Amino acid sequence: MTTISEIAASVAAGQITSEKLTEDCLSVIQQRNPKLNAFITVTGDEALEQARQADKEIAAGRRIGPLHGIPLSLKDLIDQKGVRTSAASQVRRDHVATADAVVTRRLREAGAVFVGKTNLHEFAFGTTSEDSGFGAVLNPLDPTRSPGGSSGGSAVAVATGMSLGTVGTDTGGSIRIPAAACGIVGLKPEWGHVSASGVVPLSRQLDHVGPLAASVADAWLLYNAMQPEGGQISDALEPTSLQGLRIGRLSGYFFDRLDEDVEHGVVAAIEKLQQRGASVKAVDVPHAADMAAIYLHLVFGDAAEYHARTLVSRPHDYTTPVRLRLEMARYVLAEDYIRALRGKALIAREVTRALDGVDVLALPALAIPAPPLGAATMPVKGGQDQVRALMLRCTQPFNLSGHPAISIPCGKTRDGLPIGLQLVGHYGRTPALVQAALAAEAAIAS
Amino acid sequence: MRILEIGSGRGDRTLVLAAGMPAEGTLIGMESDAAHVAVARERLRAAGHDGRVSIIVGEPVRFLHKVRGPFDVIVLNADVPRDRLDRLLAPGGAIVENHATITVNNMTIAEWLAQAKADAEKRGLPELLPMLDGLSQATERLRTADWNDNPDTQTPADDDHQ
Repeated sequence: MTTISEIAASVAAGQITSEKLTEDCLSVIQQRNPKLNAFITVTGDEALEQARQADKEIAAGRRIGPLHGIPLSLKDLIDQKGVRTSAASQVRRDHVATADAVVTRRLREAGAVFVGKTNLHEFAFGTTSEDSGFGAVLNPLDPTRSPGGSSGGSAVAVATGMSLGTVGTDTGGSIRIPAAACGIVGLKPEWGHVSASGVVPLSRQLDHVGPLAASVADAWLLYNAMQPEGGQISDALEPTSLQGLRIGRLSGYFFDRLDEDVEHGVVAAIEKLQQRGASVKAVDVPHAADMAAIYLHLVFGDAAEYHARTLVSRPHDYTTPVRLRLEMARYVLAEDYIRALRGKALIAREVTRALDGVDVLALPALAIPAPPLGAATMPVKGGQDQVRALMLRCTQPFNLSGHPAISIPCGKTRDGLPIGLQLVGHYGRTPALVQAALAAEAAIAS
Repeated sequence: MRILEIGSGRGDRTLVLAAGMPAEGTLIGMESDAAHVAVARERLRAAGHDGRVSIIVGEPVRFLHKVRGPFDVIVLNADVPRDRLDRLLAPGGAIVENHATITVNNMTIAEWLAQAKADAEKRGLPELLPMLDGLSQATERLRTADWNDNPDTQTPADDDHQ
């Protein structure tokens, strides 16, 4: 995979043009998208026009920064002015955005070129990207499998070079899950640290907007550009020294029900960090086993509220599985929703406590490798579990708690499918989390 | 936690919500029927919630502009235009709409499940039946979790305020 960090220097030096980079991405889209279905809308002409404009500015000595002229994509839940935001649903087939979302505007101001809008699980209400009003997304590493979701098309776009970076959303794991399933990096920022304005909601209290990219450095570049002007810091961060890095390895629930190869890969990665000088201690989230129930009631309550009107007026414009789950969601009672809100606060306290005395938490990002399309269950240590529950179990705690979390690749299963290591940081310390991830990425690759 | 309940009726649901709130939570209810409000207030007083719960008498649509937000949760038991609610919602707050066909009086999960299933069947959605079983298991887990306070166990202690 080409990284933005590497290519940006060539763009700055005039060795490669934005037009060429954009043409290359559009050419991969043309060749591979008919099969993989990663994009719902391709804005080729617009992108080439933006690229030529960027080339002119760069040649005239007016380069804005590392994202100037870089082809990116946006999950089709995020508004781009003048382009449809479908949310992968026929319910929104006629909706054209009248303005950029805040993240789109910030990336545009950083000089980015937008090649198109990526496919997803309809309304982000699922983890496999199979139920889309525009057809399922396929995993480029094995097209009989899901790329994960809900930001499935975004992960495929980066993994194949259809765009050099992308923006996704994460309500229960929708950035980190497809990043892990496709072998790339996904950063879920701290809740509220990247604007969700102009983004179709699933659950406003759990939704996070953030980057998926080919490397940790690239994810940081994109995240930094998404910050308001006064909030941006250096485009390049130094990795933390692994000497003295304190890692809390989450135990119990988080390693209970894993695919055997995933467990092996994640344990080996943590051991490698330990060999390089990091200290590792076991920590836990005592009520981890209640998280799924807490999460379900909140996301159902919020989604049922948002979809209440169109479920009645246009039920047949939803895919059947998503419509049925929304219909079920309408039966959640307010009193149970209130209980779940209390549970959310409890989990946030417990994650904060687990971070006491350590710099980051380490655990798998995804309990299983990319599941076969249509699979309802998958084998894990100790039995056979529902795919949906397995995909969410390691990521959803940090949507409930709002802590920043990143998934980085850490090896492959015996079938050659990627495994993701997840690192979780303290509130208010996203740069420190990214610096630890830079160090971990380098150690794992060496 | 601040809750706004629109359409409090005789306080059936208000009582349940008040019991579920954390110790520092407050609830404002709105109800147009003054006789209902009198009943609700008396029941809330009897349950010891009157210090944390107040109910405004009046048509919610006409009195919404008098309510000061932000609220973490807005519970809708009556119809009001959504755009009137946005300014009252805290960042990350949520609007919860109660299913119009289900009436709640401290229902057990079994009672709720039976009503929900009957409703789903009536609406021609038999596919929901096994899905509702799954949801009821999650609800059971929530209701029996050891972190949910119950009036017959210990006095609630909130970690956030220690």
